[in-house]
Amino acid sequence: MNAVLFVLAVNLAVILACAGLFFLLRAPPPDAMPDPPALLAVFHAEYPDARPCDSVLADDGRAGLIWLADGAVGLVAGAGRHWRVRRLDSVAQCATRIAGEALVLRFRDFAWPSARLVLCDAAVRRRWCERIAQTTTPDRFQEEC
Amino acid sequence: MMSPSSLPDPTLLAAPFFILFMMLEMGLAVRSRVRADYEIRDTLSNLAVSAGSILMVGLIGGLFMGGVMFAWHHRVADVPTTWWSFLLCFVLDDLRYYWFHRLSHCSRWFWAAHVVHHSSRHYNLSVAFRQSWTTGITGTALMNIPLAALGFHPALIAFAASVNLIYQFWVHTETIARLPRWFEYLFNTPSHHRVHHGRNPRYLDANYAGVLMIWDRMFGSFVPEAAEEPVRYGLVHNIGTFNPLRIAFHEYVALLADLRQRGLSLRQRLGYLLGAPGWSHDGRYSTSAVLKAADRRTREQAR
Repeated sequence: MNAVLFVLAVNLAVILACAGLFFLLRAPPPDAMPDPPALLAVFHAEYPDARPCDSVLADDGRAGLIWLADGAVGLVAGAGRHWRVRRLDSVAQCATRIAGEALVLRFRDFAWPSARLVLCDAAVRRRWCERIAQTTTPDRFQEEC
Repeated sequence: MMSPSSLPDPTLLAAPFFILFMMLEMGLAVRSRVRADYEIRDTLSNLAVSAGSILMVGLIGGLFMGGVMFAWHHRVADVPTTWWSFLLCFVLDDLRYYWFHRLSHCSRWFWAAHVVHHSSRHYNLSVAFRQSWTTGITGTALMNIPLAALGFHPALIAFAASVNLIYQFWVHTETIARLPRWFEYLFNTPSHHRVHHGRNPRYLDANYAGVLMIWDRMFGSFVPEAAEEPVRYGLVHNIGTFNPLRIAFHEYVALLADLRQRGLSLRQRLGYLLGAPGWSHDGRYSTSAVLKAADRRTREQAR
């Protein structure tokens, strides 16, 4: 047990050292998607056969939504320096909520906690909120758009 | 002849060097001296997952050791603990590791534990720390029974497994491109292991070896790293979290959700539990075999 405690203490020290190292050396901030074509390119890398009809890029460029020809909604959201991409269809359990200028998507999926899209235009925000609510299976946290 | 109980714990001795090399790679990567993709949240999750894994090994690591001890007490021969028996044990344990690792990718019950190690989208020395919390409950420790039954002391088997684990640390790097051909042929290398961590369809379910690459060549799972297709790391469906608890248990939650579906037959439930990851009764998910076949077709059509 002493050995386990020793290794755990070493781990803790290393975590603190890494945090310090990253803080001192300042890793570059994550990139934002510059325009809707960049959003579609990220989505197409995961779903090459998807046919987009409409899309919206969050104002901070860190997330975006795509309305697909088959009625599903594509989501691209930043996760650290990478993009997490998924298709929202009737199988996806998702709750949408408007929080200030952001549209928040919350999933039942244990490995996908939530996604936040800053959309300053209230009409756009509401339109996408309704689209997602219509497409996915409502979660118990669902609020009115 | 050595006393098996006098064998040290090599992982413990190696731990400071692991940390040193990781910090070195990280420091050089930040200064752009070497190719290594570190991200603070990912690296911190790796280390937190590592701490949880060590704790869990302490708590449940010995769960199936009774079976191994039983086999050793009923052994067919007495193998002394010497340098040659260590070498023999190491090679046989590496074969055991190959099948353990292959099983961890081919059946969802085992994959639910092993997925943790593959869930990072980065590839660097810190990923080697990202180990499962639940390997102890899967029952794979019972794969040590043949070695114990042959007469290798359980302490010698544990020692060989630790040396194997130490070897695997350094292959988690992008800083080393290729090594001499004879070495690449015989041993697991960063290039081979990058393929193993790839989510590109052509790289799925390949290169399971711990130390000796000959097992993959013998059992048909070897895939070389192709210059024209850079490895994309992570899972087929990547997770969107850096939370160690979610990383450790997300596949169990998904598995439970699949098992709780209404109207499934026992056979279908067993398919979800023991079938290949991605198996589904209605074809809504895809196994790696399906993804690889589709990829092959696309490639052939493109020619």
